[in-house]
Amino acid sequence: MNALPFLVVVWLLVVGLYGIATCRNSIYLVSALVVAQSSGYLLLLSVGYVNKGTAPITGDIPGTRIMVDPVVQALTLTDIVVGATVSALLLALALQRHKRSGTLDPKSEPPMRG
Amino acid sequence: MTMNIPPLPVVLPLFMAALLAALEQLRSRHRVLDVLSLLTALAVVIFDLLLLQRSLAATQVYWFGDWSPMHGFPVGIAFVIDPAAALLALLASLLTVAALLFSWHHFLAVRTYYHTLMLLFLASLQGFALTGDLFNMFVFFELMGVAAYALTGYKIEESGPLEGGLNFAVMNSLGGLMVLLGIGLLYAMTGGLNLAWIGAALQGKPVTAAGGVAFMLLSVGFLVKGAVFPFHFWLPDAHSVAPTPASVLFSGIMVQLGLYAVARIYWVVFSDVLAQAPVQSAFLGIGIVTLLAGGAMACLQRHLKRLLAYSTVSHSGLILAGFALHERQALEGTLLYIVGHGCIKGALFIATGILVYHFRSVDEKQLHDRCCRLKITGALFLLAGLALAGLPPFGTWAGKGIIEESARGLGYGWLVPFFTLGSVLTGGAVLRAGGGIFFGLGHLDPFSSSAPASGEEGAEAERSSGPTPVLMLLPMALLLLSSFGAGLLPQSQQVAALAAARFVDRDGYRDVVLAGERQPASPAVSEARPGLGGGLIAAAGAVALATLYLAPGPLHGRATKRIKSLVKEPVTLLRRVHSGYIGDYVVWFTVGTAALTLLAVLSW
Amino acid sequence: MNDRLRNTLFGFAAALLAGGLVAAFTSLPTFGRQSGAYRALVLESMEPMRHAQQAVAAVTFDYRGFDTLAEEFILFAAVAGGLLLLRRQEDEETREPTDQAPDRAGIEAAPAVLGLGVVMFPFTLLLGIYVVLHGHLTPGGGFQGGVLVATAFYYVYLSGEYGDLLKIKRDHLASHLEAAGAMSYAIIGAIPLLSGYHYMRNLFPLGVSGELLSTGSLPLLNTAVGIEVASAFVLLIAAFLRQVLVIRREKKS
Repeated sequence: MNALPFLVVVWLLVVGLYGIATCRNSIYLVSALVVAQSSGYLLLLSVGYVNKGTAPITGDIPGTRIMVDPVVQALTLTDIVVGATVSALLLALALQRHKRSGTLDPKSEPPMRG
Repeated sequence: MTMNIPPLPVVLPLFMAALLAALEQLRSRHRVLDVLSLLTALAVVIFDLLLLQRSLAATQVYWFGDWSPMHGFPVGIAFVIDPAAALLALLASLLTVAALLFSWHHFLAVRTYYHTLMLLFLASLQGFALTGDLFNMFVFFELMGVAAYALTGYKIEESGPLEGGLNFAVMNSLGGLMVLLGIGLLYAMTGGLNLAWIGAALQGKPVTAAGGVAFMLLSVGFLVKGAVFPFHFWLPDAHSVAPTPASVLFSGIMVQLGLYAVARIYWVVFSDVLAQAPVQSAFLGIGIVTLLAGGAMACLQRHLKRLLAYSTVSHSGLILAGFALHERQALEGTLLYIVGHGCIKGALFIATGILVYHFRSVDEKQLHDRCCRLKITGALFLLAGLALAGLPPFGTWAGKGIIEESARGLGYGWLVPFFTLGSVLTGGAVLRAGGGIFFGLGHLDPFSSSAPASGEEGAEAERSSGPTPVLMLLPMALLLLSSFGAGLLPQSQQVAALAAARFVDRDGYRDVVLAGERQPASPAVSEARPGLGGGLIAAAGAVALATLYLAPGPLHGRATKRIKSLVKEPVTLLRRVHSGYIGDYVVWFTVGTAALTLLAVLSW
Repeated sequence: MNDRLRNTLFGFAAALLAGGLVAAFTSLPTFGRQSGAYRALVLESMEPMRHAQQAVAAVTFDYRGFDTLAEEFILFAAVAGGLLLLRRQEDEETREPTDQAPDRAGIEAAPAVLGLGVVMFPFTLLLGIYVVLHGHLTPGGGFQGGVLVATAFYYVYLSGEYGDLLKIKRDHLASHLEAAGAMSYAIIGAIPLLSGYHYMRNLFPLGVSGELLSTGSLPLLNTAVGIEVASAFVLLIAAFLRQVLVIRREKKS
């Protein structure tokens, strides 16, 4: 069981990369990128997990409870924002390109060759 | 107040970017936006100069939120400003000033977005160069990326910029993901994010596969930004279609900062943990392949900006090789080379912007013999081409000379001919283009026949038949002059020497960050004296290559056909590898990452 | 590269990469057994030093508040970039959105949908504001709450018409709010500079642990971020909607 989160990290990364490598549709490409990026979130969160840990909020809980690492959660939050913004920009680019060339296929006639 | 300069190069442009966006009502008055953003960039130049001056005396450490280390552990984020960091930050702000000066006459900005994004980009470059925290580096890496993707796609009327922006964004996001995975691994091993702390925590422990893989993942991430083989494919697509001022920054400093990050992380964190040999041979190999591939592709282009973009790839290879020598003197040369090259590349991109301003084209064939009236631009362009090849006393010459001397001393003398070849190829390509465009020399070149990619020509500027505005020539001349000064002035070499000495002083860096001990000023005696010979040979080689293309001599006639058929196959292969399809790029990326990861697992 | 070559090459490379990563992960500390110094120090010091009870917020806005400044500006850059890329081009014209199907000129939303929108809008808006304001006490914060607030406005769109959304959301107001949110984060961080402290120093009164006005600058920063995020997402989604609904390519015959 201990290896499971890390195996999922690897799986998400490889599957996301495969999606981008073979995609014929820009929207699909953005989704595949999001899948790949989620491996990053998962790795950070797994790294910060402590057995039987609760959320790192002391509020009404006595301070003796074990808590998971708050730092990686903050990092993941940052990374989620980054992922969302990049997706927005990519979708905007894909939308405009679709209007220009009438296709979402990144493979069709890339204007830049060689 | 005096101790509070370090955050300003980042915070001021961020604030001004938001302010400009809020001043949207002023959008009819472009000059207000131009002046405000120019003033901001100038202020950042001044801050960077002050920081450089102070860092020469002692490395400056600035803890945000006054979170200085708690029981020796850094809980906050620190800027660690040593001369190398300050020097690159200064280069970034100088190039921004040049780019903004150029854009004064350049194009009608769409609302406030152009100025906002340029200032955000400037802030990200500053933060990336100055920070001493791994995750903070990642955040600025992404800010740099987001601003850059949008700037690349600026001209949505063409499909080139959209395609280029898409490829750029996907590849760099994958790079960012690799950085994040590397951060995750290091955090699991050390529980910290500060570079100095991670280094200190890893020191003396047995080397594990995780450490090696973490270094390689971080390297891959930043090498994507640094555009070295096989992660470089996005660069020509993006740099050739971005607006000229953005290209100046992309090629002049952004790419180099990626390589700088690899060197910084290696020296601070891994240099006493991982054995040096595998890293060194891998990066030297990658560097040389990049240098040759970029140089060859540059010779094959007729789209001027794409030509310059490939020359950036080639010089990236040289810079990576310089860093990979892992030695103080080589580092000194590399820093000097980055400064010299950044200024020249900026000047060359500005020249292409001037061509767009007058002729709405950057296609070598279309422009052939049509630009003879732009005498000053033409002369400066050729001078920049020679400087790119390493003509003494430009910064490129000094930097490359010092790297070469260090390589010979380390027993890597075989690198020197490759460096020269790279300079000859890129310089020759630029000179050939300049000779044809500005002086009508030669016939249309026999080898560069790829279709011109459209991109910038469209809406960037109204065609102008008047004289070139002074504000366009001025930044170009100033940048060339800066590169000239970087190579000629002994002070600049002193600064580079001191920066390199401080850069490699791993223990000093850790002490000053973690314990607050002042890093002793190392003796900054630079023994390296670049010889004139190497520079002259490279420049002469570039001229010879350009002559070969332009002169009505041996290359036109039967010999041409033979040479053509000889190089046809490798050229076709090289072109087909640069296919422009993102799927191929990702496969190359995966191959490169897998190779480096495997190397890490097997060697450590 | 043809498809087969690409797939084969990718397969090999991906297998190697996966193997390398697994090898790296096996040499990490066991899952669930980490004992990071950072975690311990933050959990120990946040209550005595900052009267903070929500460690994630303390890290995001205090210990590593400078990261969050850059993060906020990433979003800001994305909005500037997104609006830049989604601008109306010269050969395009704007038209009032109409239903494309000829037999339904003016379609009315079903009463149930409309009613749901009327209920959900204030509820989501309030929830968003609550999450923003309590970000330093409970899970959530400026980013999460801001997204909720932006969502509230899209209930209006979903349950009614595009025009209703335009009535509520004035682009100018949203973009001014967005810039103001971004600027106020930078300014709050800069206030300590005036008294000689470092940037982002938390100088505000710390209050009593667990109360709304506690932990110094955290509620202020959360609010700034909340305003920025909410208006950023309203602007971004509106820009996409405008592309789909309003902007038409002029037919050149």
